[in-house]
Amino acid sequence: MTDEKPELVPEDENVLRRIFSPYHINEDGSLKSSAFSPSTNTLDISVNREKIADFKKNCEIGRQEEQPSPDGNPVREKIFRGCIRGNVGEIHNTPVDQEKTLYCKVLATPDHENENPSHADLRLPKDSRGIRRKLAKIFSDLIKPE
Amino acid sequence: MNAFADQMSWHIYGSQPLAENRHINWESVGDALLHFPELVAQVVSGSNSSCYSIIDRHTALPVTLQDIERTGTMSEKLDTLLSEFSALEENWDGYDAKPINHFAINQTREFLSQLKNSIPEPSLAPDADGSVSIIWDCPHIYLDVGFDTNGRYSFYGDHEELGEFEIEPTIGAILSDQSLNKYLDKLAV
Repeated sequence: MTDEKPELVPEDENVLRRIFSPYHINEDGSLKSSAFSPSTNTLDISVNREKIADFKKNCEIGRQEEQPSPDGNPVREKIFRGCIRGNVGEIHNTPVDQEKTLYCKVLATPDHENENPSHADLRLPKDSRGIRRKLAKIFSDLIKPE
Repeated sequence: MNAFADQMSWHIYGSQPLAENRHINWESVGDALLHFPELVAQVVSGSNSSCYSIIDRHTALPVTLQDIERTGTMSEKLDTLLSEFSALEENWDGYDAKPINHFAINQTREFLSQLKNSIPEPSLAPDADGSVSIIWDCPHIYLDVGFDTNGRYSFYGDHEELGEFEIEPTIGAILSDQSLNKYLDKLAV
């Protein structure tokens, strides 16, 4: 990451999120809202700017990050399932609360340490089940790798 | 009822016919009846074939064989999924997710086992912070209930009549939450 104050990603861009967990995808390929649950102590969801790293590149990285299960237990294996895609303009302009006052932001946070200039953070105004649901509706279903 | 088993072919009421000469396994049905005393089996004999349906004694509505095979709302499939969740290790989602908290899993099991049989089976999902989500994503209603690592419940509901409603993490008896019960009632079939 960088110490510089992150800038908003332009609204004409799309972002991709690589999906590894089978538990975040329904049987029909649609996305579960739990795919947007942030880890503890953060409100950021890692995504990648498609303009800098396209779908094919994300698939390459995803495959490189795959890990077999150490003991053959399929629950413990890490398999790249594909990507989901969201439009930054739609993310920035869709209110995520009933009062229509809260919005998500997509911030450019290039990861120089891991040589990932495309890295961005989808920052939630707060973690809530309603916000996860709205993000799941904004993002595409799973796009499987070719 | 076992006396019928070897005498005639059956098809499931409101479902695809069973293969010819395939008989209802009354042993299984008997088990289900034993396990769910609120259910009764109804046999309807015709001239060429016979049907059976399983009736909910309280609602007088038929339920499907698939419903019978569920262990209430807490089916074997959901139970297996929760066991899988409990085996997930750090970074199971590729983004530093926490292992799923056993307290959250136990609360999910307890919640599901207390739901009415008329509520359809939800999907389950682990969350990156170690909690568990219980999701019903139906055409007319969406309901996402979850238990976090601190023993709190939260939910978000969206229904065509009830509209949107959200409860942020709260301590308490979840099934006493009147707001949640309104959405659960809408789920019931």
